[in-house]
Amino acid sequence: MDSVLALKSEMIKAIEQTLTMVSISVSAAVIIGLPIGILLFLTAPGHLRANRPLYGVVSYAVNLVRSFPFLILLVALIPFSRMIVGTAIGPLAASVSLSVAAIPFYARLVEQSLREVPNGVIEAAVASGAPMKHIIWGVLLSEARPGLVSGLTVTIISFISYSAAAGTVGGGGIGDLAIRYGYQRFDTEVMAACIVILVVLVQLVQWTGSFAASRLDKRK
Amino acid sequence: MITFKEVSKRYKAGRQWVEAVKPTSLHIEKGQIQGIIGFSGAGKSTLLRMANLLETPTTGEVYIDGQELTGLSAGELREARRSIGMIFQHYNLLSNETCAANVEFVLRAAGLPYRERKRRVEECLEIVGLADKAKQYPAQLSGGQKQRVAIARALANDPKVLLCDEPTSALDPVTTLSILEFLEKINREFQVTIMLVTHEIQVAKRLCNNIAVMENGQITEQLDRNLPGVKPVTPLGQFLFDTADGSSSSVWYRGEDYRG
Ligand SMILES: Nc1ncnc2c1ncn2[C@@H]1O[C@H](COP(=O)(O)OP(=O)(O)O)[C@@H](O)[C@H]1O
Ligand SMILES: [Mg+2]
Repeated sequence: MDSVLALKSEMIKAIEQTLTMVSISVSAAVIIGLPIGILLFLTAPGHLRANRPLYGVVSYAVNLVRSFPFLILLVALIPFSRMIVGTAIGPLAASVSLSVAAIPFYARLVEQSLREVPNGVIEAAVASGAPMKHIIWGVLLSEARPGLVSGLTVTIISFISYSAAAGTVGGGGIGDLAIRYGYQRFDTEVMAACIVILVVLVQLVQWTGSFAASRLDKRK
Repeated sequence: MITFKEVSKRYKAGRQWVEAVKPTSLHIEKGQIQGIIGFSGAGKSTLLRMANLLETPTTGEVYIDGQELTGLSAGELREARRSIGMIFQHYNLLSNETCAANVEFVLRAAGLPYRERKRRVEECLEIVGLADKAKQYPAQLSGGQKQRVAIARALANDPKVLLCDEPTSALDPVTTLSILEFLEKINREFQVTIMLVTHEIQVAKRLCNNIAVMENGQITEQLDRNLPGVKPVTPLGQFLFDTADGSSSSVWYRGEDYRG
């Protein structure tokens, strides 16, 4: 216990770093991944704005990024991170790679959620003469709400875990702390404390996400 | 009010083409209730869905109130669709929105300002007798009530035409009657021209001024219900009308390529 208390300030800093990495990458997932997911849904063959070449290119790019093992992506993007934030180490640099991974991750989940919206409901909106903007906001995003939130929960949890991996190559955060003290200095208490923090964080996110998704779901 | 001029629709099903609707013409006068009756797969829904271009005709033209829909730009078509209401067998309501929000959606899409939207939502729910359900979600309603919300939504933009695709086919007989009464009232009070597709002859007989019998993608006969003593002449027409009278044994329909 003593070693954990002695590291209190470092612990807090590590938690802050983890939260920074997760919130930046998840924000990128929502701001960029959500529109890409909508684009994938709309341009897929047989859908409202079917466009085979466009769908093909975007879908291929999404698959490409997603097929990289995360650590390899992290290393491959070091020059890119340096270009964007001016350094290749620290939570901000790690956030660049995390964002690149999170965007296609969430985009696919968005596409899947939108596919669960019954076709007839979309058709009723088309038949009423609604413009695309209203169909996207008022029908697709509204009807897919529970799925979008569940997908976001999955994304946050995955990227808490990815951020721990990113930490070990210079990103900082709880994962980095666990490795530096727990693994390299055999301080099991610090290691255990780090794991407890991660478990609590994941549980909290899952609980909140499930609660929000069920509150948003009016289908009974 | 609704005119189909030699419209046809072909689909590619795997390697071969299916002609869901063969070149067909039909004219529906303002204020009429036109029924389209036939077995499933006859092409009824495809024909109906060409009336608002949910399906684009492979050939032919569609006119609504003198305007040729088939010649419009995307924006003009959206505009035109606002005066064509539509209801469906499975209601197709937004399940995460309240009844009021379902009606409001089409008003917002039409660009109506807030105050007028609220007023019109109330009016429309009033027409279908569901003013007290405004804040409820579709899952909390019965099938008949859901269809009434769908009717309120279809009426919101004051349409000239209402398209109905099997609107009572998921409902029990008593609820069916109540929906038919609402449709009748809408036709009478707001002079909305109705085109209704159904496989239930009783529904067509109860509601329609004119019934077209459809078979294998074609209208094989049309019965004007206003003329007394008009009797179906095709075997399918006779079969359908006889089953309605409970005497189906007199003529048994043997469609050669009836596709169930
Ligand atoms: N989108 C489609 N793709 C391929 N075939 C279709 C499509 N829609 C309808 N069809 C075919 O067209 C025919 C007529 O269908 P439909 O108009 O739905 O009949 P009905 O409403 O009378 O039951 C059927 O054989 C059906 O399989
Ligand atoms: Mg049908």
